[in-house]
Amino acid sequence: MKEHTPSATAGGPSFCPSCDRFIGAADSCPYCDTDSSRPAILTHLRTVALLTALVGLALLLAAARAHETPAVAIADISPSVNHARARISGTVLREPYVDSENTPPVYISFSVGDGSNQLRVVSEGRTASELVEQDLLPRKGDVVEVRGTINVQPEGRTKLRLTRAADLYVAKASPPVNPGRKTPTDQRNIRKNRKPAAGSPQ
Amino acid sequence: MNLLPMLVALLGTCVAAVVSCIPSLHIYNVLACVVLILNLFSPPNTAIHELLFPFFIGMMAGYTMLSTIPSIFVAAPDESAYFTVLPGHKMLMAGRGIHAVVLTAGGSMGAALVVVVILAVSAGNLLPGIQRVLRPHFHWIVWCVMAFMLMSEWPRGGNMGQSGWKRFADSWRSTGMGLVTFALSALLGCIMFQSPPVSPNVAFQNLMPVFTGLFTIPALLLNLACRVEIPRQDVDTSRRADLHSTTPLHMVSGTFAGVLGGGFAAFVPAVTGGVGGMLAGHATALRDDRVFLVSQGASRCVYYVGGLLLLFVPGLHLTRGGAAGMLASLRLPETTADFYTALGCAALAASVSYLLAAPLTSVAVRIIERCGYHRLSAVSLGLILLFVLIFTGLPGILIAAVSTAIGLLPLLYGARRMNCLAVILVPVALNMSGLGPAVAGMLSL
Repeated sequence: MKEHTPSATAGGPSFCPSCDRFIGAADSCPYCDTDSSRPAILTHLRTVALLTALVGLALLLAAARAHETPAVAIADISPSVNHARARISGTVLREPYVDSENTPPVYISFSVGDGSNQLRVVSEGRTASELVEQDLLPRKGDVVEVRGTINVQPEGRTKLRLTRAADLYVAKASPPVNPGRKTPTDQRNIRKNRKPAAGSPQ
Repeated sequence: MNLLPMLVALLGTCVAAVVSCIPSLHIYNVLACVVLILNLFSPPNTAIHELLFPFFIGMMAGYTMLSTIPSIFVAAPDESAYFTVLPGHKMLMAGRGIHAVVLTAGGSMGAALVVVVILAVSAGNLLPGIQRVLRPHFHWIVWCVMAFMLMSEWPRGGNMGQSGWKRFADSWRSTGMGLVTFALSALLGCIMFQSPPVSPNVAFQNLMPVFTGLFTIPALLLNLACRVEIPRQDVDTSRRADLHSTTPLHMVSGTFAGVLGGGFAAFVPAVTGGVGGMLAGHATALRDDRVFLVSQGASRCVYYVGGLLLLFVPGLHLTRGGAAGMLASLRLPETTADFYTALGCAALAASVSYLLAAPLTSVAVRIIERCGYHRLSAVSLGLILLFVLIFTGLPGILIAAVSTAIGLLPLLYGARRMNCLAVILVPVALNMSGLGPAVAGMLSL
C-alpha cells in the first residue's frame, strides 16, 4: 500500500492532468479539453469489450438455438436440477385438472409417470387457456413429451412448469378395439402442434 | 428451550465470516455446496434438514454484514470509475476503508433489528394480504422500475470542444453505452432463462457465471489492468473519524432509506438490493456519502436476510432470492415456531456478525498489506474462475466470458453498472407479463 497524501488521490487518471478537476471516464477534460492521463490499455479494452460482448452474445444465442432441451428421468430430479429447462417423457396418469372458476381457465395440471417416478406438470395464464381452447390437453393414458422448467420442492411437491403450448407433445393412447383387427384409429393420432425431438415417444 | 438452532445459526455465522474474508466468493456458492453435499450424502427429510433453517439464516446474516469487507477492499475499481461506484471506494482511496465498512455494517445491524421487530409484530397479519393485493401488479411495477433506472441516467460532459454532432456524441457516450449494456444484458438474460446452455444437473447455479461475469470479474480485471494502488488504511484515524463525523441522524436516516429500498427489493420479484437502494436514495433524497453507505448496508441486509425470512412468514411462504430458492427445494418451513425460531436466529447472527466486523476488517487490511493488492486480485480472479468451472463446467466459463465483456462496458465508459441487472429484470418482467414465450419464439429459443 502506498502512503496516502491528498495529491495521491487527486492526481489519478480520473482527474484532468491540466486543471486537476474530476473527469471520470472521459477521454478528454470537459472543462479544458486536455487529453486524460488514462492508461492506453483501457482505451483498447473498451473496443475489445464491446466487440467481445456483441460477438459472444451472438454465438451464445446461436448455441442456445441449437441446444436441444435435455431429457431428464423423473427419478433423477434432485435439488440441483431446480430451475432446469428439461424434457420429460411419460404417460399421463390421471385426467388433467382444469381450473373451472375462470373462463377461459387459467390453471391446468396433470401427472406424468415415466416408470421411474411421477411428476406434476402445471401450466398457468395464457398458456393454460391456449391448451384448453385449442383442445391440446392430454387424457389419461396418453403418452406425452413435455418441455418446461423444473421447480423442485420437498415432500412430493416438485413440478414442471409448462410455459408454451408448443412445448407439449401428445401421442394419443389407442382406443379400445378388437384385438388383431387393424383400423385407421389403431395408429396413434399424433397432434402436429410441433415436431417431436429425437427419441421422443411415438 | 431448544438451543440447538441458535448454536447452528452461530456456526453458520462463523462459516460466513470465513467465506466473507475470501474475496469474490459469494454466499450462494457456499450454499450451493451445502445443497450438493446434502444431495449426495443425505436422504430427504432427515434430522440434518431440520437444522438447515438456522444454518442458512446464520450464513446469510453473517455474509450480509461481513461481505462489505472484500467488496470495499478488493473490488476497488479504477479511479476513473468514481463517477459510478459506491462512496465506499472513494473512502478506501482516501484511506478510510475501515470507516466505510463500519458505517455499512452499522446500517445492516440497524436494518436487522427493524426487520426482526416488524416481522415479529405484524408479518403474519399484514404481509399475506399485501402479497394478495400486489401480486397481479408486480409485472408493471418491475417495468416501471426499469423505466426509472434508464430515465434517471442523463447525458453528461460535452461542455467543451467543437460544437455539433461531435459534442452531442461525446455527451451521450456514457448514457448510450448504459443503454447498450442494458439491452445486451437483457438479451443475455432471455437466453439464460429460456434455454440455458448448461447441464440440467447444475441448473440451480445457472446464473452463477452470469453474475460473476457481470459484476465480479470486471472489477478484478480492472484492478489488475490499471495497477490500482490503495493508500494505507489507518485504523485509529478511521475510528476518530467515525466518532466525529457520523451522527445518530445519519444512522437513522440511512437505515430508514435502506429498509425502505431493501424491503421493496425483497418483496418485489427480480428487484435486487442495489436497485432498491437506488430507488430509496432518490425517494428520500440522500446526498451525504455516509448516509448513502448506511443505507446500502441496510438495504442489503433487508434484501438478503429479510428476503429469506419471507419464506418463514405464516400464510405467505414467499420464495425470494437464491438462498430461499435453495432452501425451499430442500425443506419448507411450515409452523409458526419455525418463523419465530428464524427471527431469533437472524437477530443473534446479525449481532455477532456486527461485533466481528471491525476486527475482521483489521485482519483484511493486514492481509492486503502482506499479500499485496494485485496478488490478492489475481488470486480472487483465479478462485472465482475455478468455482465457475467446478459448478458449471466449460459452458459456464464461456458464459462468464461473454458476461464479463458486457460487465466491462459500464466500467470503461462511465455508465451505471446497475444496467447489467437487466439480465434478471427483463426476462422476469417478460414472464410475469405473459410475454416471455412470445419473445423466446421471436429469438427462436
